[in-house]
Amino acid sequence: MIIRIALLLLAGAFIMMASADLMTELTLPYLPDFITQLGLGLLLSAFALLIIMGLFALGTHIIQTVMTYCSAVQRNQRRALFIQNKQAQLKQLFYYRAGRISYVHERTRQQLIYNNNYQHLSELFTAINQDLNALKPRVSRETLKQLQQENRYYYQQQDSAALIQLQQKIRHDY
Amino acid sequence: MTIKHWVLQAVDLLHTLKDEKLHWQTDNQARQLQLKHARILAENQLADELKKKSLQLEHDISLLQTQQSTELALLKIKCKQDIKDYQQYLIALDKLKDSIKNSYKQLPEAVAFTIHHHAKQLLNRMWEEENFEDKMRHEMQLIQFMTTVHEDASAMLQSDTQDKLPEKTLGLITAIKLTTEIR
Repeated sequence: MIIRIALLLLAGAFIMMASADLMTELTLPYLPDFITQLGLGLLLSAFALLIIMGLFALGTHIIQTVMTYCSAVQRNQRRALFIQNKQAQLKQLFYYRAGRISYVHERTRQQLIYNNNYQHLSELFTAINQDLNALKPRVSRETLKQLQQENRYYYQQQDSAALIQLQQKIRHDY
Repeated sequence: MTIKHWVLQAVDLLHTLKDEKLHWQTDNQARQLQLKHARILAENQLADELKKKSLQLEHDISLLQTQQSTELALLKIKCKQDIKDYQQYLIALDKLKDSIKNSYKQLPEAVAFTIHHHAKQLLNRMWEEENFEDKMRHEMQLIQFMTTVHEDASAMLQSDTQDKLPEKTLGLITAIKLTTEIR
């Protein structure tokens, strides 16, 4: 209805303008100016009406949207989605927690292996040192020093294969 | 005269349209009301269903939380027990090394270390294997190896000679290494 009024006003404005032109052509005094002013007034009121109507429609739409957003259906839907997300998060969190426990467990086991290896390598290192002490009267000072250095180096490197070979070498060669 | 006639006709047309609109509204008022009610009912029903779904999901979440905390607690206990078992195995292997060293007084530390190291390798292979059959196979290998070491140690304690090596154990190490290399 309002659109119709606005369109009528627009049409009226154009008719006024056209008639004002026509009157100017016919060289009628005063009247064209008045009619042009009237036409302009109609045109402005038509645009003002359209703008007011647009603003009103916008306001109505905003209120409608807010009401829909706050409606029971939408609220419950959002809540259901929130809980679903929470469930998915919990599942993911469980996976990470289980992974963390397994990781810590594996680290502890690796630490146990490392400690045990270190303990037995120390025993081998001490045994080689004892062998070298026993060799003291039979080998030169330089050879002994070199063998001791090798022993210390392999022990620091935690190289069990090299330490085994070293003891075998000491036992067989000297 | 003609313009007046047109204007009157236009007004008549407008009135007719309004009349028709009114008639249509009167005829369909009941249906419109029915539709409005149906829409409100459907909305209420949907809201109720969603509420029920939310409640169900909340219940599921509490169940899931309980289940997860139980599973995590079980996993922790299992891991602790696993570590305890592994420690026991390591202690057993240390004792195995001590026993072979006590039996073979002249045994070089390198040989004792090799035997212990090999036993530990077998233990780790068994521990890290995920396939049950392979795990059992590695466990059997470890048990066989430990038995052989004990046999060697017992045999040495009963014999008089002092400067021998645990030949059966060393032979078994070579055999296992060869088998692993072939695989």
